[in-house]
Amino acid sequence: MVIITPAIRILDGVGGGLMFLGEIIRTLRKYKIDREAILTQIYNISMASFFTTASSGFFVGALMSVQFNMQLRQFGALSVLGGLSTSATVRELGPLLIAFMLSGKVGAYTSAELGIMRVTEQIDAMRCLGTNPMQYLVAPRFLGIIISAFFLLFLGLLMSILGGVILATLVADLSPSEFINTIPMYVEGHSVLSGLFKCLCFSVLLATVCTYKGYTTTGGAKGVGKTVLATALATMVGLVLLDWFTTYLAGVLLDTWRAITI
Amino acid sequence: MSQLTVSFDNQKPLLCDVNLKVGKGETFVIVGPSGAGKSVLIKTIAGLVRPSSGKVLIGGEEIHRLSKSDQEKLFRRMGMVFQKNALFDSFTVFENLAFPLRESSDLSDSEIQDRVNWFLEAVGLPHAAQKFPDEISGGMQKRVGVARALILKPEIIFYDDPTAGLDPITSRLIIDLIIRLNKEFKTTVVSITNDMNRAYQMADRMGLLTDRELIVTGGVAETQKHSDRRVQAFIRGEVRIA
Repeated sequence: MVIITPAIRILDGVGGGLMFLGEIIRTLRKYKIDREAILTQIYNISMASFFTTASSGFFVGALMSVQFNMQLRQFGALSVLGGLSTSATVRELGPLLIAFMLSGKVGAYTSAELGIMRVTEQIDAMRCLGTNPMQYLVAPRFLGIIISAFFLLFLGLLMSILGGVILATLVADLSPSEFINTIPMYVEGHSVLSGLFKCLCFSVLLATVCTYKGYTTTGGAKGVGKTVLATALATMVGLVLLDWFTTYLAGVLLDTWRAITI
Repeated sequence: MSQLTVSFDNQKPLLCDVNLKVGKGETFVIVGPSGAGKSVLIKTIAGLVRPSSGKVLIGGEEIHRLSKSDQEKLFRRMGMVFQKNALFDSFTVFENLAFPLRESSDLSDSEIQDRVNWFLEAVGLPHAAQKFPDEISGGMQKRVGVARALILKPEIIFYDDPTAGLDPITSRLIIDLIIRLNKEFKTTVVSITNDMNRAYQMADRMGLLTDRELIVTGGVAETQKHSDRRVQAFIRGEVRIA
């Protein structure tokens, strides 16, 4: 029972989240979503998280540059620092760490906002006025988060390259051109696509979890607190699992593509 | 509604086999002790809570079995005033009233402005139009809630304890306002309260919700003389808190 009860609760949460995603997709197909509301969400999220994402991207790149510098220096292979650290950042660590930052900021904010609207009966009031809260509240936030999170993650990845370049110049005595010139050797088109695909998947996960958790909040202030906690936990665990899955999927797709083209 | 039973998470039912019929244009007031399930009952009738069994028919349509879009159409014919007002806190008073008109009607901006101003006048709040809900008093918030619920001119309106947390004078003023607006729009009203004076003030018929059942007691005079000892105990303030 010690294991079964939490396992059932987790499965219940995953199932509920997937059904909620289905409901959002149905709403997007059936109802017209106010473009201005989506743009407002994109603007608010992007502006609020711009600095956080840019700075975290910068430091992820810088961190990778420092770590690879220490390893590569032992083998006298500093010339490939730019390619290796950028490849690792763009394909793996960058999207994941930046998504963690975003989940703390965008995820917590959105789930708390919807949660408070739920516990103060504002969502019920909206229904009673003949307005669909999924159309009016959830769908614009869902789309706004996906679009802005994708943009922010992409921005974070660009900033990570900048961070890598600057730290490589400072700690490894490499010139920016020496760093950048080796990037195309290790970061191929599929690496960039894989990174961008991850960014998209992470954005969808983040948007789904925070809107679902917020929309289904129960209880008063304590309920909202629990929702924010559950959102953070579910998003972070979900991001790690999704990172593994997308890496695996990208590997399979790449192998298949190579087998077809060679 | 008939044979309505509501329970949560497979627990003991909160409401059991509740039956009620409210006529067009009638004001039915449900009284009962705190925790008896009055809010759950009114939310179930209004379609916000799904019953475990039984059905609620509004104008012949079973509200819980309708498709989402049909439910939305039915909701536009109904209004609800929530116990804690449920005003949209990021909107001003004016925007709170304009919201349902913008989302659910074909009125032009100037028509919306006119109707919102008319309702603000009707509830005595023209000066509060640009204030946010947290900048006005509880009584004013309640009046905004009443105005918002009535602004689409619904056929049926539900009041979830419209005088909760208000002083006796403000409570009386709110009930006077509700009675005046209901007469003006000829709405069918279902209201809940645990204040007998306010219930007597507005009810055509009444019912007492206690021990998971609804005892329909009739008009004010009939209620005062009702033979059920639970009704008499509640009127005299002797009922234990459920």
